[in-house]
Amino acid sequence: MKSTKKAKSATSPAPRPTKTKPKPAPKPRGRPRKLRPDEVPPAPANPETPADPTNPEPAPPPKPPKPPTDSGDIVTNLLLRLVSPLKSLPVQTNEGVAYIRPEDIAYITTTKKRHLEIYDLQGRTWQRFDTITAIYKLLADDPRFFLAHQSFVVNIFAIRSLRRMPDTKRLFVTFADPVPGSAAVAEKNVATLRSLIEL
Amino acid sequence: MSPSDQGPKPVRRHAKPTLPAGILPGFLARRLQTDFLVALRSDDNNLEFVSCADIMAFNVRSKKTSAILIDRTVQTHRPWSWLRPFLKKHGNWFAIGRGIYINANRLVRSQRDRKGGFQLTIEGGAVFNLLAAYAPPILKFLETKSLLQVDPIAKTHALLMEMGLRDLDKDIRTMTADEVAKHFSTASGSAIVLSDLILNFLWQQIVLIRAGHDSPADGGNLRTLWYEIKHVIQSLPNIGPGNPYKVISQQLALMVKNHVCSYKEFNFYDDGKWTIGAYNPHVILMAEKEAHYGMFLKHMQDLTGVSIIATGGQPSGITSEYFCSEFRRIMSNLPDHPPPVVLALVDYDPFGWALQQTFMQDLATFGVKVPSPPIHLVLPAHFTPLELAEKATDLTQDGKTPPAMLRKWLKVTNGIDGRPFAMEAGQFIKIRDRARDIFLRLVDPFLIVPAPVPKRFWEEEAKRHQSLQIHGLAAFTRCMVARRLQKDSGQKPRGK
Repeated sequence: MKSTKKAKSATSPAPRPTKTKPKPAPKPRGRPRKLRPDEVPPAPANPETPADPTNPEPAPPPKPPKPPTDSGDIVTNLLLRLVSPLKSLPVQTNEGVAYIRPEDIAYITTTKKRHLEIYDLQGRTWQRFDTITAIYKLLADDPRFFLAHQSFVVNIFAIRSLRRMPDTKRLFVTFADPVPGSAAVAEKNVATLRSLIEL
Repeated sequence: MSPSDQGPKPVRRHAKPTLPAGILPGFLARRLQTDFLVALRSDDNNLEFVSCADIMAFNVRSKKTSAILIDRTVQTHRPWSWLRPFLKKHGNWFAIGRGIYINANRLVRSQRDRKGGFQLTIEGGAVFNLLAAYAPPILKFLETKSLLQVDPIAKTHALLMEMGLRDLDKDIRTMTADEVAKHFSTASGSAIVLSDLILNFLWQQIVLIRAGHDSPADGGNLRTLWYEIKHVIQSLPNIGPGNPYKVISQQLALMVKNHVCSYKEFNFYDDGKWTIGAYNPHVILMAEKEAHYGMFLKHMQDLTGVSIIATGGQPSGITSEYFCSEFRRIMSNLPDHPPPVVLALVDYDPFGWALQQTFMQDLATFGVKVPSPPIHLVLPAHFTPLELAEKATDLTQDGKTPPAMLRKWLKVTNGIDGRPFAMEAGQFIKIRDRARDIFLRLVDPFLIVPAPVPKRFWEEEAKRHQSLQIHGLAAFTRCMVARRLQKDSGQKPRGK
């Protein structure tokens, strides 16, 4: 069978050595070993104080300062607290449709008739006829809304207290007046809720 | 190097402020209640600067642009062609017809306008009329298909809206005549739409009952409900020729039929004649006439343990609902029960058969599924030829039966020997033994517990009544004796 390899002439230059990337050093696993007192390096020297002529060792370089956080992110967070990035939410009334700003919603819950009741920060109640999952999906792009319970979507910026019922030990959140009622919180969602409202 | 050798300093341009990604234009201004300024021509040709947040709409007419504020309308300094591109970046301004442009970001409410088109409410309370032809761009912006309904919508709510439900902030029972006229008058304002008024009154009561309040007709009847609103309707000068009490009955019947509410929610008293059977509850023996309840139905229930009901003419919605509700409750305790069957003791004439069909429809409405057609007891085959010759009535002679109704009935039943003659149910039960035997023969295939059943219901009821009365009499006698003794002991002198 004919060889498919390219023939090499005597005058062809020597093949270039293939560059192989050096393998990165394996990352150390686990917590770093605690240094003994004699192994602890000395503190870096203060540049204002003159170096000790008796100590010939050079002072270690100062640690670079932490880079400042992006001010745009701060502004965005503040603006998101003020206003929702979403359009107004249409809700059903007896004669037509009302348009509620998402930032004005305190919480959303289901009713026995399988409708949705939407409570706004002024204490008014509105209704829609879809499911809690569907409304949560609609409001998903707004970070203020959280599915605290299978029947409650809450506006985390409207929460005023997190309490536990003394008899049933169930958790619920309350809102500022005049918002009526409270919203239940499932035990599995408490940690996430607390991290969201920065407790 | 001296400063002069460094070259000219670069001109620093102020960067245009940009909103963070995700925030729609106009919303921040809406929240802060401030926006860019629009120059308006004030008096004496001076300029007034008003925040765009305070402007409800722009009106462009005859090449002049006016800003519509909450309390006035002022001409702008710049024309609409100059303003529009700028406004488009900071909001979403749409034409609604007649040269008016509104900011859709500030839309608060949309509903049907009685004078045509839609009524749009903007923040601040300003109301504008949107012509239907201008709706599509606004619908596209709002990402919705309708300005009246949010998808999905419950069928019951859609029906109520179609019937004329209103957004009311006050109980109708406390409204003045002017307030009622404001909400419920016709487009021309000449009369009150009574059906809308009563519908909204009923809906308000339902909402209150569901919120935990007592029913205004608790233990009463429809007339009790009528008295709740009578004073409001009587104070209205122009309600038209309709009978308000009848309208209440019709509107409530329509709402119940479409499952918007139930009679039970109002806790109406039911004076209907019916009893669910103890042994063969799945068999329903119904009668058209109330008198036949005692004359025939009770006896048949004693024999066979079937369920019985006497509608007393056209079936009452309240009775039908209560009967079906109890029937379903009993049947739910018998999971392997056979399908319900209906035997009908109605007149052999078009009205009797129509009444029977209405009863079957009521059963279906209130959740009792009867798969097979009803079995009629009053048929020509169950009479002797002599009875038919003497007792049958000619339907063409009395003139009460509409011809179309008669033709339809004859097509189904063939009358009596092909002639338009009728027989009354009363003639059937006159001969009790024959009526009983015919009933037992027809019902036998459907009975689970064969006739005669172990205990006769009405006999047991009579015995229970009797024992209660005996017990009551005994207690009465004891109390009378005790009272007499007390009285006698009171007359005796005290001390020695």
